[in-house]
Amino acid sequence: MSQISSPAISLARVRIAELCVLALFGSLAFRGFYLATDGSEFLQNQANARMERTLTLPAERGRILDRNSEILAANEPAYDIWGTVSTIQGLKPKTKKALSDILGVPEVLFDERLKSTSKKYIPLARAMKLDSVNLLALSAIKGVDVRFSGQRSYPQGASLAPYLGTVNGNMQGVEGIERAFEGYLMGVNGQRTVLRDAKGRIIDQPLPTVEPVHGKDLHLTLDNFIQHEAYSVAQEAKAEHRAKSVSVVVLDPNTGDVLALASTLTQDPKEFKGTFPVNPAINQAFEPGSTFKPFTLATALDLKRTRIDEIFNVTSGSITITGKTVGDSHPSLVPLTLEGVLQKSSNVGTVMVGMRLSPLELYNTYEKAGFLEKPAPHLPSQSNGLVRNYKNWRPIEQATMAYGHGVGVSALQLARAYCAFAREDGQVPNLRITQDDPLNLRPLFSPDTVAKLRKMLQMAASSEGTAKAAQTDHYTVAGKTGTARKNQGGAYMQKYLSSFVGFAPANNPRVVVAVMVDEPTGAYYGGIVAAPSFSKIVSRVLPYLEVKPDIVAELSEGETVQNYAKKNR
Amino acid sequence: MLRKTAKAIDIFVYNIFVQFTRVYGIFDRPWQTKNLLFLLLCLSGSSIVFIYSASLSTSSENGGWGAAYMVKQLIYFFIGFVLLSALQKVPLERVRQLNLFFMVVTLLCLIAVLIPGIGRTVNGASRWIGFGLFNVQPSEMAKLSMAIFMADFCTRKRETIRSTNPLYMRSVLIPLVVVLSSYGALLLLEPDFGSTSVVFIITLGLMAVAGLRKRLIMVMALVAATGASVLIVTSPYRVQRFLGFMDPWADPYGKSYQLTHSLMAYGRGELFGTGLGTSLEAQFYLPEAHTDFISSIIAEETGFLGIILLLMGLLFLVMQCFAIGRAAIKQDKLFAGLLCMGIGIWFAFQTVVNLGVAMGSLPTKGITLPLISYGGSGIISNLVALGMVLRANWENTHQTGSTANVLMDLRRGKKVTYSDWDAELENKIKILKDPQQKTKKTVEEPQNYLNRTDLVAADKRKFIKKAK
Repeated sequence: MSQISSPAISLARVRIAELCVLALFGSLAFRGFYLATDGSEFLQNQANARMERTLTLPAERGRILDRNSEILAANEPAYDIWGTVSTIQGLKPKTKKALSDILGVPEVLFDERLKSTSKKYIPLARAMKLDSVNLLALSAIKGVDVRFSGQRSYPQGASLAPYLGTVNGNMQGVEGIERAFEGYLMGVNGQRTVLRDAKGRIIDQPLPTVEPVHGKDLHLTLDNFIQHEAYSVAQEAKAEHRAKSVSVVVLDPNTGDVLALASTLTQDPKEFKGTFPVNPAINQAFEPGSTFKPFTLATALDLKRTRIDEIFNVTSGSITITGKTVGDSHPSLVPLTLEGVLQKSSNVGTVMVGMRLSPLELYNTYEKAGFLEKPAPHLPSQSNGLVRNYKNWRPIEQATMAYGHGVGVSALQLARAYCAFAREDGQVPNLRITQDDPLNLRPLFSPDTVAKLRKMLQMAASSEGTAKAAQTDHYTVAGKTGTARKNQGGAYMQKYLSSFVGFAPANNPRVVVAVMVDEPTGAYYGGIVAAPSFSKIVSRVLPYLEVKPDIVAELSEGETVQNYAKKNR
Repeated sequence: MLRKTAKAIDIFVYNIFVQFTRVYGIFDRPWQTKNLLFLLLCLSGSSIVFIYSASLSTSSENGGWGAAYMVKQLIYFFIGFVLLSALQKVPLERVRQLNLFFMVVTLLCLIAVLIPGIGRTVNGASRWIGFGLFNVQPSEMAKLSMAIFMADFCTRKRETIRSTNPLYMRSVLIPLVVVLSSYGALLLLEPDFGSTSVVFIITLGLMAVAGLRKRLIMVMALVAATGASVLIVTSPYRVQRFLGFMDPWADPYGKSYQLTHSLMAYGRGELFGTGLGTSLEAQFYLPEAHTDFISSIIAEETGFLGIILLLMGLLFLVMQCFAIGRAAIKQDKLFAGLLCMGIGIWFAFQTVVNLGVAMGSLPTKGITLPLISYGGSGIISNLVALGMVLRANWENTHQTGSTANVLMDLRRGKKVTYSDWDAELENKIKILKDPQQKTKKTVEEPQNYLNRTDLVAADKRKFIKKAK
């Protein structure tokens, strides 16, 4: 073989070149393998961070319905509008103007906002209502994303606003029922991961989606009709007496249902900003005044410290307890029976009875009547009353408490406690807010005592009592007025809180109504200010509840039913 | 025990070596032309597919035609294949004759591209000459022209290159430095660092193959490295790119944006890819996805499997260039052999740099992937170069090339030192040298025939018998 002449160029060099190429390609293959296996997780995470976006699929909030399934709160369509800043800045001036017009923002401000942001993708408007024309127009503009989102609507308007509360921008309840039943109403949001291209547009590619769980509908025990009546009566009373506010509570004593819970507002519900207006019926504790007296008398009757026909000499018009004097505003000229004490609302008589009881006995009554607890445990920011511990009571304090001063209760607490008088068995029901709430009863007074009290309260609302104005044409009523001077910072002022709590029909009560007029101007006696509202509510609500009238009209001779109705309308 | 283990290891290593040589052996023989063309068609087909995938989103944006880049690339491939076919009828000697003409045209184009009116400037680099319908990239011409020039140069100066001749400076270095610096300077003025490095690597590689002494190879490599680092340090954008390469995740939204997205594409592809047409990086994330970073899209859609197939395809192509070159050298067709080697080195270098950049192993550099990346000038010059390789393969099996080679050298008045001319050729030479002398029947020398690859074994045996 040595004979074969070698080529002019050494093939060894060619071999080396080949091996170099082989080695370089081999190392590229190794690098590629590393990137595809070990390095891939880190790289994929980096890629996902830029390419994936997680969208929230909002769960629809449950509706709030009344006892007849009328809608009190629902959701209505609204749209969140998002924009890619650079794309919008590159739009034609005409398109840009159209965009700012639809958004309702002056063009200059709109431009300013686009310039000032450092983000690529910003929200342009939230929860915006759009008609179909504007919706189409917006969707057609490049760089603008229109996303569906709900908005809460309250078709009943202001009448229910303080009770239902409201939601914030993220559809979370912040007040009232909305907050109390947040967990029930709100659903669980779903999630959808989408891929997007470098210009922020979503690429349609199937990725795992978590479907949202929508919130459940909440069925309240509230009756929308009664609520409206209560609200309109409250509004009328507020206008008539130029009061600061009027609150009305309507309860069903047999079931503990809250049929209406109305307050007049000082603010339009659509313009709520910052703090939500308080619901005085729930949130505000006031000195109940004379409306508290039946509890003192009933306790004494229950414990047999007095009889219904016992006579109290109240002609002096005042009584002195440990050096302090308690007086009546309209002293009676004759001694009064126990019935008369309540009918004429005598402070002196009540103190005489009240001082026969030990502090613990009175305190027990208050505790069982629910003045020390929140009347409806769900509802937020309720007042749980202002009753001090009986161990610290001085005798004069016990005396004033007996006729409803030096304590604080809310209208809801008071109405609930009056259910004991309205029920045959003298038990206090718990308040049922929703139809799912169970009914629990707590004994307060004996049936015998309650029957006596009901009669006494009916007399108090009779023509001889302090609350003539509470009477209605067709139904017997029972109830007690209350007038308390407001105490601010320890001093009593020339401001009053007039109230009336009662029930109807007197013999077989179907509703308990509490009316509270805060700071009326002019007349301030509960019998004049609050009782007419009670009368109006009862005469409108009981026919609605299909309750048979228990006052039979006596037709004069030759008068027809139609004529009678026309005359009395 | 120890001895047994040592023996087992010995056998194991030996087996690996045997296997390796067996596998490596497939690179040794030049394939038939039809096999090479099949490989070429596979590569160009995948180029079309992935260019469509990578450019669909960008070109269909703003109402454009989604298939625009793909169709353009198809046209380039068509033109390239027409030229490749046409070259099969052109003897490589003819190419060699036209070497000087090519060089002059290339240099003129390289100068023209720098003239503001003629050259088109994109991203601060003026690399294209506009001809209305199409643009020409002279740097691609420069690579091809350099391969031809170096093949010719090394053929002529091979004795001097190898020796320690005192004439070395005058006959090798000075022409080399003049050509290299004029090409390099013009390319760097564009600026086109990538093409400059390709031109330099072709020069260095061919010189090394032609037998440049090891010490001088080291010196040239050192000069190249120094030159490259000086260029990097003196230009701020190259410094930025280099820093971005050193730690891509330090500034993934700034200077390393392209590199990090390319790496993410490789990571997303994993072993088997996300599927054809599903690339997310092509959705405006990765800039230049259809040109310099086409491999990232391939990696994302077909995974490591696609990358390894691509690497293997290009490796076979390069190795075929080398094998054909080696066969030509064996037949003493030095020009053809060195030309094939130069083209092989050119393709290998571009592949390694392009993929190395995309995988983050090399600093970011705008070098296309041969036969795959989008670009008319690149595709056409690649196919023209491969046309010459195929012609060399044909000439290896048909003796005409050799004849022309010798005749060429004789016409230039040079001493013919080839060992394997055939009888016919010898006659011709004699007639050329002495036209009066009548043709004489020559005796065939058996050892020359032994060296010929184109004869079948039976013929060889016949000659050996004759000689005995």
